[in-house]
Amino acid sequence: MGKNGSSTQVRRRVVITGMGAITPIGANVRETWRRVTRGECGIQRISLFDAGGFPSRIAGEVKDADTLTERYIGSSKYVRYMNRSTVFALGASAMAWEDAGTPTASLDPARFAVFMGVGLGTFSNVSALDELSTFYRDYYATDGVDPELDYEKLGRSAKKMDPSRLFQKTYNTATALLSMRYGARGPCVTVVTACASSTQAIGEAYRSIESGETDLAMAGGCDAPVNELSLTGFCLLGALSKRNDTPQEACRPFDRKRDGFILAEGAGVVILEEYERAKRRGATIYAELIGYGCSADAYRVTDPPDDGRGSALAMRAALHDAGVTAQDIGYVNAHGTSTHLNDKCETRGLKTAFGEQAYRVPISSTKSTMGHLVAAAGAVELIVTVQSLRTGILPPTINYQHTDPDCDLDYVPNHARRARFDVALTNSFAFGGHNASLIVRRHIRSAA
Amino acid sequence: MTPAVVVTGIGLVTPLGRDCEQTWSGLMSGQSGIERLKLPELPGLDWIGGRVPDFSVQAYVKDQKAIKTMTRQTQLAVAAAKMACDQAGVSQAIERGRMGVYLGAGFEDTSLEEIAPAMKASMDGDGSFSLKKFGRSGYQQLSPLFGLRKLPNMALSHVSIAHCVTGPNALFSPSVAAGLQAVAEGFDAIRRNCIDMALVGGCDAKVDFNGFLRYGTMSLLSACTEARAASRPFDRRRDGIVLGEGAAFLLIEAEAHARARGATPLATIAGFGTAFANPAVDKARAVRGLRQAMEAALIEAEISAGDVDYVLANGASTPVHDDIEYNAIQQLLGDNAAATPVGASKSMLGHLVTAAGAIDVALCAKALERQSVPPTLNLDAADPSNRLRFVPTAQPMPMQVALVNAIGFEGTYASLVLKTARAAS
Repeated sequence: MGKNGSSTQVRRRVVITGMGAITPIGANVRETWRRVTRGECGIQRISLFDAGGFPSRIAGEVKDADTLTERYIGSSKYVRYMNRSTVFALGASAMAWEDAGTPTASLDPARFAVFMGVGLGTFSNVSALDELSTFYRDYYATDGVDPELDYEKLGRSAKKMDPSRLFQKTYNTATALLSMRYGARGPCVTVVTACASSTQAIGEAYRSIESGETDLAMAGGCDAPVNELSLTGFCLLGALSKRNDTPQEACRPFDRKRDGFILAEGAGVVILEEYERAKRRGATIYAELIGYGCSADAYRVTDPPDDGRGSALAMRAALHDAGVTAQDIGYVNAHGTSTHLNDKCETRGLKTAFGEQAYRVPISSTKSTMGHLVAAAGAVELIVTVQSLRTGILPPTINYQHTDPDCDLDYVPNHARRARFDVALTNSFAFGGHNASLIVRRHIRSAA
Repeated sequence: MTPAVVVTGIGLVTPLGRDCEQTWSGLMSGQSGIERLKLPELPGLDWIGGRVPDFSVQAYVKDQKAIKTMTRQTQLAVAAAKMACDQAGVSQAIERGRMGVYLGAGFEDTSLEEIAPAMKASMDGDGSFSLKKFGRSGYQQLSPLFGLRKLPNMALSHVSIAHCVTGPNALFSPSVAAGLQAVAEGFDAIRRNCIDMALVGGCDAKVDFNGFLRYGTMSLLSACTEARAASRPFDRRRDGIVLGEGAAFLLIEAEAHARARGATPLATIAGFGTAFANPAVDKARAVRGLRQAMEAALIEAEISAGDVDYVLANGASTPVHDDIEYNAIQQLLGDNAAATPVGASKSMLGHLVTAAGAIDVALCAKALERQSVPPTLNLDAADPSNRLRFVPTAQPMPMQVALVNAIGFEGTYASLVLKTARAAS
């Protein structure tokens, strides 16, 4: 049954019992975490297509992506509906599900949800630009100076189009396939808010369990923006780094010489579970999710306001929701994209939200090692944050060499560090001004 | 205590009109918004659909420069949001951090017209496309905002900017359930006392070549070329959807908040439920899925199926989804199935996909306020096993409780319960 009126009064505890990730630096959580802490970088020249002409031609690509279908999906008849990011999503989900110990025992499927953040991977695989150029060649009458589209011809041939290509280009294909694969019959929700997509998806899933609507959720995000059209869009916005000759040093969040972000692909998925249920079945509890905050800049579609007030609102909302103060936060995994504006505004937002604590809390951007996974970034960075909480290791911001007067906080430069802390926060801020923060706490076994 | 949540503003842009009143009077007089399309970009092609008549976004936007960054669905959303805020009397005094915005929006396609100049500039001498040329210079023929226009969350962003909404927000896409999920998220955030008010809604604009290509390829479109007769929810001769475009926004808020500022509640939102079951895998399970969503909504509203006075069905006009829906409603209503009036607005508006759920919530709120319901067109003969009581003509209808459904083609089901607004105490 769904949430009922009385249960919304009681906040139920939500814990993370499974994690899966596929990133440019690792085929799973363990490998990704090891390389994040060592500060190894997965950014290289783009190999997925010939990006040689573009002003920016480096990215974080998933290695051996062609083996993922065989390893995690098998011979499903739905494979032809899957774009590259959907394959990442299914792979990361399979790992998270196994990691959680296949938590279906005594589960009411109606109380099991899937929440996914999805992005521009919908342009991948079908090679949208190839498709468009073919259409252009075939259907434009090119005899005149200004080409005109022959829609009649296009309309006739469109009837012969393969529907699977359309499903590849549909945002909720991954979410629906995951619901089907794991038998989730509760909420099936796809969030599309660019760089904040998966953080919001996990936040909404957390709310669903907390409020009593569901008991178990698979939540995360996937993206595969290393494709011609996404690269085109971001090149036009001038948002990407042009350090094409030194890809390993291109992503340098908070460094004065940063010059843009780097596209990357992958997926991150967590299994969220109501605490009592997780305890009952003896699940390994990685961390407790205790706060979600979300805000809008309501400023401009392209840029954040200079003072980072929108990001501060999201962080404060998350602190309030978690019932903790900034002093309790021992680590911040920053959005830290390596664009001039984001890193400056995020730093200001942190100062507004944290006050003096902003100067004491270690902050790092793990995008420096793997690039910006866009719709998947928040989920992968939440997993990194949980690993940091569990191990007491703060992952570094690599490529930090030149101090910037606008960015004067402790960014854990270049080398991992040990620290003991119980609560951590992770940020995601999107094009369009959507800001989202999540807070996790070390799980302390209560006296049974 | 959990606050009651009321609707205090409705903004609608549909094939039947550019505001709520026009749409409502069109529906009540049995008009159809579906027409043979004379789109300049579709010469010689027979398409039918529902376009918003004479829509111009200039009337709704202060910052005229912002318009060039807006796609069609964003323009429709911005217009609907403004009308909802205007009706609700959202003044400068309202604390925007305690206000949220949740939206269901559709896919942003890349049109060939948009990309043609860049293609033209990227052709090699032998007529083949050169990615190298495209990357070096061709792509610069595109608008600098090309990438932004591909992000559906731009509609959400523009609405938050226009009304200075800085509170929680999210965008759901591209399920038919997305618009109703958006309404439910705002409802939930107010009930948790996280915010006082929210703009909730849906938008979509697929009545163009890409839309016909997308839904035609998925075999979802009706083959009927007679505009008024093509969308026929629950009729035995239904054969697919007819695309419509539009947007709906509702301003919803905690009842006490509305009363304190002197706003008039139009209806109360009482409960929501959602479920998933892919109809292609198992039809019986899909029926159970929708029933489960409706039951969850009733439980949250603390009412039973017997209390439901009116059902505004999803009624897609596809053979499979309508079949699932009438079976699920019959199961839910049991003995009351033959007595409870049921309607389907898509018979007149077409299928507005990600906007559809929010549109139907707006229409239900209106029906509760007016105590009357619009007709369902084209329902000449229902399936033999369909025992529901459809409303063939507009009529007065005393009612307290209405149920709205939204059904995603992929199998996401969403249901919302509305009640009449309580009289001021």
